Amino acid sequence: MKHFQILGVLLFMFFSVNSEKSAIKQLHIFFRHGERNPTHLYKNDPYINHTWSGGLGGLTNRGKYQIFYLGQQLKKHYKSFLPKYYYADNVTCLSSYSDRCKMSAQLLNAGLFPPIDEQIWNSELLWQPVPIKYIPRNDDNLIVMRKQCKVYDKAYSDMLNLEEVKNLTKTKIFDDVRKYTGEEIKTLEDMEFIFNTLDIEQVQNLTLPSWATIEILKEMKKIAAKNLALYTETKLMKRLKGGVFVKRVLDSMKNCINNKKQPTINLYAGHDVSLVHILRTLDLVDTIKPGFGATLIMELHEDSTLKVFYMDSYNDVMQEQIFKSCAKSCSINDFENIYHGVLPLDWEKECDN
Amino acid sequence: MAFIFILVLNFLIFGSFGDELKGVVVIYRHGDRTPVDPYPNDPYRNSSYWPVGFGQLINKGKLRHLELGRWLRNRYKNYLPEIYNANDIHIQSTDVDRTLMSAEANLAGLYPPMASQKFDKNLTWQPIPIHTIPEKMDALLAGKKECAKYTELRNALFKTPYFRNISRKYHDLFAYLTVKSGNKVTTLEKLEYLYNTLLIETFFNYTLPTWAQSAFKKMEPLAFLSFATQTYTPELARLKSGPLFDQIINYFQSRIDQSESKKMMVYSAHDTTIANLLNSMGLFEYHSPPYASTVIFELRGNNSTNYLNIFYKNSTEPQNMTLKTCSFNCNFKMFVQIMSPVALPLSQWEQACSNDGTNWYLQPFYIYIFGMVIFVLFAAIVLKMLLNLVNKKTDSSYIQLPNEEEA
Repeated sequence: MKHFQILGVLLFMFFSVNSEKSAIKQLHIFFRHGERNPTHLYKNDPYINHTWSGGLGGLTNRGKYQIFYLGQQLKKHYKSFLPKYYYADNVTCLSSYSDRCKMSAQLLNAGLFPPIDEQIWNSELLWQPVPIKYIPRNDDNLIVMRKQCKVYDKAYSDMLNLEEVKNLTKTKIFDDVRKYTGEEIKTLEDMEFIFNTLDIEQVQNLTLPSWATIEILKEMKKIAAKNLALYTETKLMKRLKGGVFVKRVLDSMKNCINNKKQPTINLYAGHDVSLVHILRTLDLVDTIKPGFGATLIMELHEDSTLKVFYMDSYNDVMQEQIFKSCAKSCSINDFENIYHGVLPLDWEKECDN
Repeated sequence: MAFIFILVLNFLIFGSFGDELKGVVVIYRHGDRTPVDPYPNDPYRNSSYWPVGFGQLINKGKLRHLELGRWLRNRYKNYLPEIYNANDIHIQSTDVDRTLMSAEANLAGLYPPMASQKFDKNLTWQPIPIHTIPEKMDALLAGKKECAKYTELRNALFKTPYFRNISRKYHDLFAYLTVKSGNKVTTLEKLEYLYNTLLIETFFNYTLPTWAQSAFKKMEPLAFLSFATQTYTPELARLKSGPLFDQIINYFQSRIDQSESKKMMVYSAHDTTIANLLNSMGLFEYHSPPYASTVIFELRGNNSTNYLNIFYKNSTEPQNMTLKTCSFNCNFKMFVQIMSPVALPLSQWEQACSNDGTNWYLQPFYIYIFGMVIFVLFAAIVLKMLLNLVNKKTDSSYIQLPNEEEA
């Protein structure tokens, strides 16, 4: 753990030196919350009576630290870009409705914007309050991406009815995991949720039952990642899911270039599934299961080019992502041309809501 | 000896022997801020005069709320566990930077992390989720959601003799403020905004222009009155503060029924929220609710009876507030009854806000009149055509229309 952190710091420093060639004009950072407790336990779970500090689905202490650390690292990385003082007018921070995301949003800000000089309002506490905004879950098509969309919902259920997709659940591992867990496990999502619980229990040093071998977990993780990918299986689905976020970023960057007043730092606290929606809408990954604190960064540069970086967890290496048809120094215009097919013009209308 | 001491202490903390604290609702105003929008001729209009953006919380405001949080911690130390647990408390804020930040600073004082909750050895702070609803959707706390019925009633309020008289009486003052400030100060609310800006500038030790110095004291009673106008009648109060009262009552009821785990409900809002709450209960003494002013409801009781205590803290110590038709220890059922003209479930708010059947042009009387006018005009045109046919030669085809009263 410690070694990873040191490695992380070193890599951060390496990239800090390396990626400061052209000045940054605006930042959009979408990150997953930190380590959490399981949201639900399965029938035969040996830890069904375990006390989860912070409650089911709650952020763990280590999870809090992860995002605070992520904020501190981002602060170091963007040292030359970040303003000396935090101003609420210059930063937006949007979160998902869920408590663990709202808390993670506060934590990232705590790491990113510790008060200095005259901003220190309490000499014993190097922290300052930062407003976190969110909209109700059922109205959110940006962060949680759960707002109802008829056209999308139909496309998704049609896809689930395809033989090839149905066959994904007709494998031996589904029978095995059903038997071991005592759960029905009908869908890929059911399998993903069981995997999440096992994965988290393992992270929290709880010994897993003997059936949950490394091989089984590996296989389950693949299924989980496949499940996350299926939400954006087609171009239409990409457009109606991750497209909303990509459109927002693009619009904000365009406004920024045209010198319309825009927050220069835009933070978004969301979930693994939201990250996969975005990554897949941008055609950057096939399947992926983002770790805690996984982060996608979109940088707008002074020369009106755009760069995207991704870290698969809070202390991962920040890796530049190369767009398939826009390799080095992709301009905003090129970016818009490449992705215009997945950018919704009128989401509500396209959803037939 | 120790036993007596504990008894006395118990009395001091809980008000009377044997009654336990069962539920707490806290509603506070945000801390010190910069002006929301300086007036056009404001000598301090430039943002360089202000440490943070317009309408934002300043350091003093953060500290004020940290201290209020500590004060709450001390007041409820035997009631609210020191270790933060999401099941113990619900914090809701309006969707405005300064109220969201005030709530965070307040929580830093209420819940400094205990050893087991510290995630960084140097930081005595922990994240706590704050709930909010976008302003335009918020009929509960912000009271900014569009309500047609409310707008109509409030417009009608300003047409009553009392308010017309005020406009007349202070006409010169409004005109003076309009000329001097460069803003059209035509309503009490606009005067209140200007007053707030001037007040904040005095807090920052900025010298007001001479016109403002002389007008300031004259503005004060009008600004105070303005705070009362949002909930001036029970019907206005019902549409503005009704959902919040309904939520407060439901919360206490579910505490009595033991179906609610939350020991405390906290709302972070504005001066108007405080004024509206107090005024809806008939407890508003005309003033401008200061930074971090707080209304507290405490439910106490035993197995047989439950009563509510109301406090208003606008300085160091909270004042006991007694409803006109109830004692300080107000029986909870009595309180519910007293507030019944005001309390309005959020689910019924939308309906209450629609002026179905109350739009003047949809009322039967006006539909009747409208129909008659159309009929008369139609009849007149037909008559005119007939007369033209009959009497082509005469140019003086003037016909007198019957007037409405006769029709």
